[in-house]
Amino acid sequence: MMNRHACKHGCRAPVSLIAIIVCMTAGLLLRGPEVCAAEPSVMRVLVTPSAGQMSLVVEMTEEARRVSTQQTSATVLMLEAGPIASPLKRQILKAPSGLSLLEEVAVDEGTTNENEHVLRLRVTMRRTVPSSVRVVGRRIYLDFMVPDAPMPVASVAAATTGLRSERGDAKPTLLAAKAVNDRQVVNGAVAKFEEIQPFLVSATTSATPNAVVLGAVADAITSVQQSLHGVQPPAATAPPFQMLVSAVTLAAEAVNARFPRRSRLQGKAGTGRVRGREGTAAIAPSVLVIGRAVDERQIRVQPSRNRRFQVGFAQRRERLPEPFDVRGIFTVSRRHEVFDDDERFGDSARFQVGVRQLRLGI
Amino acid sequence: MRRYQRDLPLSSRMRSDEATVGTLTLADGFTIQVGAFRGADRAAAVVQQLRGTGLPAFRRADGGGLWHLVLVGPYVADTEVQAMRQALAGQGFGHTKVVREDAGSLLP
Repeated sequence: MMNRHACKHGCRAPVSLIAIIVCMTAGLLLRGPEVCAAEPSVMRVLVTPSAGQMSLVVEMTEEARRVSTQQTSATVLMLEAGPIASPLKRQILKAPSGLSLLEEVAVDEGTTNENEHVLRLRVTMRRTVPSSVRVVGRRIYLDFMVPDAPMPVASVAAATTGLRSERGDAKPTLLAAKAVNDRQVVNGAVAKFEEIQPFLVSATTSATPNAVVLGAVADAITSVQQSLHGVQPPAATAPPFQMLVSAVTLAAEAVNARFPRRSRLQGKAGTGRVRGREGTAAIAPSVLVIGRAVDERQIRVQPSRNRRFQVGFAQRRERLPEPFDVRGIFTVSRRHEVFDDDERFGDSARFQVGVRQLRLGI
Repeated sequence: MRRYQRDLPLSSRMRSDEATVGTLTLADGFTIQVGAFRGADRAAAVVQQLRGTGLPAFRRADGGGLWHLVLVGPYVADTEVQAMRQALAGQGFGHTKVVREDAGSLLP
């Protein structure tokens, strides 16, 4: 006669030698003696330090169906994953010596409002750092950006919020106010740039450009350029800001009477030319899609003679309009290094770069 | 005796009693180097592009600050690394290389 074991989740499984072995194997570190095979369980918690990013890794026996995080304080992050098999052996794992960023990780269990048994991880940091979570198969990665290394670009909002929360004296407040003001200026410039766009496209693509229209558009672009002169973006948002400035510069060149058509991509042919030697301007298609993009473009770059580069649209797929990402402009408006690895440039004759995530980064 | 403080935040409700105390296990990881750039701004732009697609990208100064590496990861399993390399190749980053992160020597 076969005995049956019912767990709290209602699943029933025959208790056999094989089942016991499976359960014991799965409970290598954190599991207790009673398990339910229907839900994943936590196998171990690891930390992988590296320059630039440190990750806390939670290994499960299977992929967790739900994972969420909650920043409960400046230095405490809660992670909840589940449902998991019960029970879970509670542990407090101290950070090894030399790991200055992390203090400890508390491994615990809990029950949600839906009566699901879940893993709860409380991660205590020694200082505030940006974090993110990702699930890769049966592993959950909690990534912490190591502040000693260069930080990825963050939004202005995040940067100013961090400034306020971390410092309370008068000077940072002024800096934050300046940042907010600069952001408003940038938003205004972007809005105006969007207004100009239809006229810009019309003026620069017309077979017989109207000098009066070109002049009016040029004046409008000049005012946008001037409004951006006094902006001092935070270091974290400097790259997208520079892209925006680059885009405005490109637009100015496109309508400048001195370069009426030379700096514009030949749209019908779908190819253009980069002035790679100086690494400035020259790819005008970015001008044509500023503001609202209605398609996604794959850009193909091919080295040519005299350090020039052929640029063309490899693919063109229709999609819904969305805010344009100035990063895309940056990608096509700078030198060839943008498209590939400086170290290995020259090894490859052709690359494809997708202009994705069309979102203004400022 | 166990006590539950239901009105407090989740972090305060975790029980510290009956928990064993140990030390976190350090593990070597793998990162995927997508590119190396002389300019920090270009590296930042690529990082931003990758993060915009949901990839765990970050950058790291190397070679005395001469190079700015763009990396994706870390991962602890080779299968994860290979899957990510394929995904990167699909985004146009075909020339990647895997970097082993020695946990012992790379403590922050």
